[in-house]
Amino acid sequence: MKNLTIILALLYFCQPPSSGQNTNNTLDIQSETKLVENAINNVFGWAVKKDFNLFFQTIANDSNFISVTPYKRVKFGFNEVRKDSAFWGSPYFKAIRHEVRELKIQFSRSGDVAWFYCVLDDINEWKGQPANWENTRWTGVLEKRNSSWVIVQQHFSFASAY
Amino acid sequence: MKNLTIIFALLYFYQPISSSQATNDPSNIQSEKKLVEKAIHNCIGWAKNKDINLLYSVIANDTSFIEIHPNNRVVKGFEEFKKAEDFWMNPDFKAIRYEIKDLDINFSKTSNVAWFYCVLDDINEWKGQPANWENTRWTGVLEKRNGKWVVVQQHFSFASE
Repeated sequence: MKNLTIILALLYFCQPPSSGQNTNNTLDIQSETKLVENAINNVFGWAVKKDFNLFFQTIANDSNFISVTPYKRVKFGFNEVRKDSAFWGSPYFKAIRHEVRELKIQFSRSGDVAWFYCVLDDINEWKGQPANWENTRWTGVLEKRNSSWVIVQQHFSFASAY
Repeated sequence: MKNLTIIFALLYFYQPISSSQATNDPSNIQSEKKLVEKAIHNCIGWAKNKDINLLYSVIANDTSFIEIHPNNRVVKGFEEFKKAEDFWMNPDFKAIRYEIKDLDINFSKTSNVAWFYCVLDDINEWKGQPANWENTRWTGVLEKRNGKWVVVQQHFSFASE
């Protein structure tokens, strides 16, 4: 009986916090920020070497994924993103460089979600001609799934002239 | 000793469900979704009666809040956000109606963060002239804080040609 009491007491007082209870106090903000930054950069950085696996690892592989492009197109679901593989994989498409500026990352209090704002320059060529997104406002949401940060929603836009 | 054992057993096996665990239940997700929808609507709907306190209750009251406008304005922080109060509360500004279309809300696995996409028509007047945001792509993130959903980031844009 005494042993059982001790075991139950230890079980009660030594439970690990669930991810939902993982507050910002216990979150290693610096290392998680670097991981999120890395994921954000991979969304464009994969293109220089056409590393599709890297790109697809960084995007949520589910039907809930949403990507709002600067144009009329809104991509709903991972499969819609994959449809662009032929364009990106074409030898006519060449990624030159990208730059992420003014990056601001915030974490949820539970530490399992991050959201960001930045300004993006994405410099590319299509058939030797510029095909760039410059001064693009980019916001997004990432969720930590199986220890990896993946983008679950993103929104790109150019400032309207109005 | 026997009583102590029973107390610890009860404490271990009958702990209250945390709010994040509770909201993973499908019926709770539905009720949380309604609350998130309401918060999203209040972001625009407050203007009809100029209920500024309703607006401020659904916006994160902190320096980390970010709002991207369709034009080149980016609002950083709640204090910056409040500076628009003079415009909104001016009698020359009149909210006519708004409509939210294609609303899509998703929750984090711990259910304490939600993000959304929708298309917004926000119809207003300034000095009797139309001052509208039509077919606006609106995305945002809400966090549940102290039992209430608040917008922590939002992005409004018009599709470029």
